[in-house]
Amino acid sequence: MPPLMTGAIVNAVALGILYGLLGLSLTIIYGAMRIANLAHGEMVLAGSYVAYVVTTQLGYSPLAAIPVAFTLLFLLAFALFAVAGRRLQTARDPEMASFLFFYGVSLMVGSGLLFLFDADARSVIFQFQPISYRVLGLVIPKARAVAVGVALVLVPALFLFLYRTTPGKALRAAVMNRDALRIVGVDVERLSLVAFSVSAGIAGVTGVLLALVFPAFTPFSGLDYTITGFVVIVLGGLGSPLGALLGGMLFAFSEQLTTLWIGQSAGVLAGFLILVLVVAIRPAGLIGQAEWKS
Amino acid sequence: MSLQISNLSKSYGRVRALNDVSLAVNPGEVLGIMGVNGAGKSTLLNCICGFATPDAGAIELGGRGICGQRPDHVSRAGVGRTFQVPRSFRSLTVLENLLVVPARGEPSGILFDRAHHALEKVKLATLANNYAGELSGGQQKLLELARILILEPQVVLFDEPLAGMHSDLCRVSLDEVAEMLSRSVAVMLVCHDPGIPYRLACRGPKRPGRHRGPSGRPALIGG
Amino acid sequence: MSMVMQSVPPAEAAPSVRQRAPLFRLHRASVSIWCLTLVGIGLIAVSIPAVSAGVSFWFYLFQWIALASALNLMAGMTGYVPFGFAAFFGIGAYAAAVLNQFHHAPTWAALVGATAAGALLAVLFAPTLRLRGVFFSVVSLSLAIVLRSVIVLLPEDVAGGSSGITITGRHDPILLYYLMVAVSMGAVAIATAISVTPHGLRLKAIGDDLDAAQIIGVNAKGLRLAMWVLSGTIAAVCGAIEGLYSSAIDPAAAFNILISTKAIIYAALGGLGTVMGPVVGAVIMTITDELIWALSHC
Repeated sequence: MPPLMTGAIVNAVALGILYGLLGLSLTIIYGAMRIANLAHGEMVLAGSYVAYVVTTQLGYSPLAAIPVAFTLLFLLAFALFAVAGRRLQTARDPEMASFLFFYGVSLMVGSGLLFLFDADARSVIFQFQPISYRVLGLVIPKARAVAVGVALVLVPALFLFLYRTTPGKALRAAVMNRDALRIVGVDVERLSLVAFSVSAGIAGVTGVLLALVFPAFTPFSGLDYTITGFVVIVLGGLGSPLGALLGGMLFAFSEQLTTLWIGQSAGVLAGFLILVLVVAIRPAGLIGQAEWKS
Repeated sequence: MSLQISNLSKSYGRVRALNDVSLAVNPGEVLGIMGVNGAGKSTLLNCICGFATPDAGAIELGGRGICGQRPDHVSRAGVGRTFQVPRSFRSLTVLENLLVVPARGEPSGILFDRAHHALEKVKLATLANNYAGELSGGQQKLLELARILILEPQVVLFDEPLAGMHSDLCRVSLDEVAEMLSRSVAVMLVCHDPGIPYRLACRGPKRPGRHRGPSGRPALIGG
Repeated sequence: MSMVMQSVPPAEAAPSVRQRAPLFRLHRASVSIWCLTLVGIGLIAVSIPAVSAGVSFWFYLFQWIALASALNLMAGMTGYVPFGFAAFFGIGAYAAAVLNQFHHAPTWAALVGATAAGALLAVLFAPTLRLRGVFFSVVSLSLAIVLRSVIVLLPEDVAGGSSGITITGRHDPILLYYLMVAVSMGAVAIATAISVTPHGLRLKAIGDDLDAAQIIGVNAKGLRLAMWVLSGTIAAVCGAIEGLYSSAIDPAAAFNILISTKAIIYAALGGLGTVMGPVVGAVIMTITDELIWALSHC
């Protein structure tokens, strides 16, 4: 295999797992609560800025930024949900109401970041030791390896939570029928609160990891992350954790390989074309619905 | 017009909901469809109405194939249907629920009069300007019945028309169905209570209705 | 059970006649008041250039009224929220600019071309209407992004490439302003017409329960497609007029997702699914925007 090709594949795997993580936290919220978190990208971005502060400004390792980002975003989401969660879920049209609410949140977080950090692009500056690894003739920056490593721990942990623990199962059940879940004695409100806060925390961690992989970010990057997140979960199938991971991989692979073969601008195009194609053939996404039934 | 179903099959994954079902309903007849839950009764109705496409078989309405057509086409061809859990348009008023029916070239005033007439028949006239979302379950079933009266279909499929209804309301429904039968409408009735088709059959003024098991495999739709 | 059982007079005594009169009269009265209001707004709009130094603020006010109303035709009346609404605005702007700048078409021909382009794009995107909810929204957004990328990738002498198109021909801003007023009034008039006919009821019925609407013979697919084409075409015309007005078109601005989200927010603020809502929402938000802009720059 030519080295460029191998490099693109390695890149795609790395990006794919991060996109998957991005989609995973979004799908937990959307799937379980029917809330379209349009501020998800800004939450991720806030995580990236935490990484920026911790590393570039304070000089600590990006790994130290992970718990900080998680806690900060967890608390922010907790407060948001405590204020508006109930209203959104009992609204006449919850999807529309939450869409508008979180659009407002995204504008506020975006402007807040703009106010705090200016419009200039920022990046995480931290020298890992060693800077890069050499594997099979490929140079892999350690920052990227660390990001993928953390994601590789986080994703299985999330899957264990969703498929093996009672609250995780309750969350997946909430996708199917909230009222039935209430009847069997689950406090759906508290479940939603915890799920929303945890997934916001994971979004923050995703932001830290993305900051290690992408060269730079600005206060306007949030929307791109939100779009990527939604594309990934629609691609994989709404509410399906495994689908989010698959969707992330597919999106990253189509993007990276097209960039390699045709060029940068075609790379963006390819990801979205793949989405349109997949949804045209399978309107429920790659493994939408089917996974819940079997 | 008669409804003729031959050799209809439909599977969902590995579950065979319908297996080679053949039956016919003729004008003025009432056909009771009975079976345990999961026997495929609703699938049968969904196939006829166009919500589901059967894997094999034919559905003919007055000799014309309607299999695989869109639900609104089937409706215009003359098939009416009610749902097991009544489905009204919650954000429209009771009267508006009837006015949405596409006009068949008649002036809107006439549809308006017919809508009022139908509401009186099902005893919902006093609630005409209430939102349908405010109605009780039983009243919503009556509203569905009124919708059928407006549509004047040649074939009507009732899905559990009396389930969960007060006996007074049941009588209203049964009267209307009996009148439809007297107007040579073909009625297919999904129910759990074999008494209902018999009661209708006894009321049928001109031709005695029939109640019989369909000629499918009895394990799937039991007669 | 609180069932109201009343003895009902025989059918021949039809109380319907008594009931119908007041209901229709009220209906007619509110519709005529609304039409008069529209005429009033139109008259004010027409006299603006005579009393105001610049029409820019008013131009964009009416643009947002038109866009919010057009979006409402789809999002409010069918429940399909097109995040990729900006694609129509962009295709309109590009069609007008390409025709006017590269093919020297007169203004009217450029606008006709943009209208056709908008309608064509809507028909082209019609298969996405099979999807529901967020699936539809996200796919529509993706298509807008794809369209923008395709325009950037086209050779520069076809669509201007990544730097866009600058229109060098002069266009009378007052004329374009009047055109925008006409489009916005047209959009509101269309919304009014739909909501007072049974089509409005049918669209609401589809929103409440698609299956039940189809089972009584409502052609849900056809109605939805009609709204989609109407909505997209109006947005394309807006884009074309705005493109000629600002005389600079670039992919990032013409396909800016803010066009979608602003239209959605404005319409939702005033009330999705109503005729007046998008108008009120657009007016409030455009004025607020202007005020904040003025405050932060004084």
